[in-house]
Amino acid sequence: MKNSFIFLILCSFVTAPALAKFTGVEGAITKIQNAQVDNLIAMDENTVLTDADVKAQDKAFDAISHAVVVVLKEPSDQLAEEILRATAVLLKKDPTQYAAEIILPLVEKNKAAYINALKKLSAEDAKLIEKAVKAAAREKKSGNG
Amino acid sequence: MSLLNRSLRIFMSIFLAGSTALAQIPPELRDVVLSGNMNGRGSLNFRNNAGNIVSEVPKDSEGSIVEVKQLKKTRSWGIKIRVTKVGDSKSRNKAKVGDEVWVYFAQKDPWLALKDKDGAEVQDPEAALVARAKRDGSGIPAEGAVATPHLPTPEEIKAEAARVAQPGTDPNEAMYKDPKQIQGTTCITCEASPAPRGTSKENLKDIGDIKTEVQRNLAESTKNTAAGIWANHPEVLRYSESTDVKKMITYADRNKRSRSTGYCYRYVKRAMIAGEIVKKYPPGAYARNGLRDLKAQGMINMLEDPRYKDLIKSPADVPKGAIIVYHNGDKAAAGDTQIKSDWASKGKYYSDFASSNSYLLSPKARQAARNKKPYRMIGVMIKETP
Repeated sequence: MKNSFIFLILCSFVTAPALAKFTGVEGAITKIQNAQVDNLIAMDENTVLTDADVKAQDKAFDAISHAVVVVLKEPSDQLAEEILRATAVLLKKDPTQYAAEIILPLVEKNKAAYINALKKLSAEDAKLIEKAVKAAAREKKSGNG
Repeated sequence: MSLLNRSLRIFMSIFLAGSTALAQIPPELRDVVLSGNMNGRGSLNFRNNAGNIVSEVPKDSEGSIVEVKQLKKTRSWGIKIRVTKVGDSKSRNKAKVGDEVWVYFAQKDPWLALKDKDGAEVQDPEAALVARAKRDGSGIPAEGAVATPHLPTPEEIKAEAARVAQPGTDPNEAMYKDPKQIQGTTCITCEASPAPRGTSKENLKDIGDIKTEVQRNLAESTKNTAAGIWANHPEVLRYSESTDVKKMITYADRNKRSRSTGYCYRYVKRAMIAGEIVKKYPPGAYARNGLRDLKAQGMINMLEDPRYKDLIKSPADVPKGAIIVYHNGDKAAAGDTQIKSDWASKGKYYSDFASSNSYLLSPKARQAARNKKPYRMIGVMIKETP
């Protein structure tokens, strides 16, 4: 009884980090998928946001922000790809292009992962992201005037 | 004596006409300097599938202007240049000195700077290009080009603004369109009108005067109602309903992009220049500094003015035509700026793109608020006119 108890404790020590990693990356991917970016309202200049729209948007942007933090800690091609896929959708639906600013840390700190993930998107989406990221980086560096 | 008088008059009229014409001459275009790599084309067709790219004209290349044409659909410009200096590029298809190619120029996003004959940068490229295009207009225009383009003159814009300001229909006619209205409801004093006197011409003139007065009062009262809390501030009303503000908003609407380019302050500055709200292009690259720079050009911050600061709690309270500056106190943040296009919750907010929502409702501002660094309005700028 005592031996099996010690064995269980040892097992938990060994599996905990692996489990944490699984929770981090997988959790971030799940969070993005749960945000259902494809169902968000496509905004134009006449769109007046409702509370529900605001909530849904916030959920999506939070999911991407969280995923960027995770992917910088635990590099994962799958997560990077998921981030950029969601970013492309958000850039099409949100004229403020805020999604590009959110993924900027990923571009600056792990450009290789960003470029690899970019290659897996369609040419149109990749171009859209590249353009928006470039503008966001320029605005951060040199302002908006 | 009469001959001398007549000659003097002729001389004066020629002198006056000449001096007016001279005053309006835009700077003569001479050279261009490229600020990015551009395609040099063999003909005036800038479509993707035109198949007329003859060379790449690299960044920092220079050229002298040979011909200028305005494109019919986009209203952008094609400039034929003779390359005088070629910038650095590894491209095999690089242009050579002496090549004559067409390059594209759009006012919104110019990839080249225009220089006048003294080598100074042209401040109003569009006016200079129009003048040049008019000069080049003789001969057979290239396909898709307007030989003598016509851009609205300030007088035309003013006339158009006056037409828009006047209600288009007779208020009585408008009344008859509403089946619920009866003529009796419009009677206020119910006094019998005096019998018409004088000639029919005089009567017609009187009727015309009354109609004009009614229309003016109607327009005035509509404006005042829409102005809401600002109806009791004639100085604010004067600014918001001025032709300058109208011009600024028209420009902002005409030049907006479908989505943000990260140049909100730049687009607002250009709109202010177009509306003659400010005389000089405000310096600075950060919207948060707009407060200081716009004050330097005679604008006032309503949030610092005891007459107005208690009236403005949110962007919806901001008067029409005001420039709103937002910041969250973070030195790393550039801030944001928007032009409000109408009273209260109507209209849109213009910067490099248009939105029905103020910046405070943007995803970025909302996330900043959740992170305890909320954006707020730090400036609501207008120009007080006496």
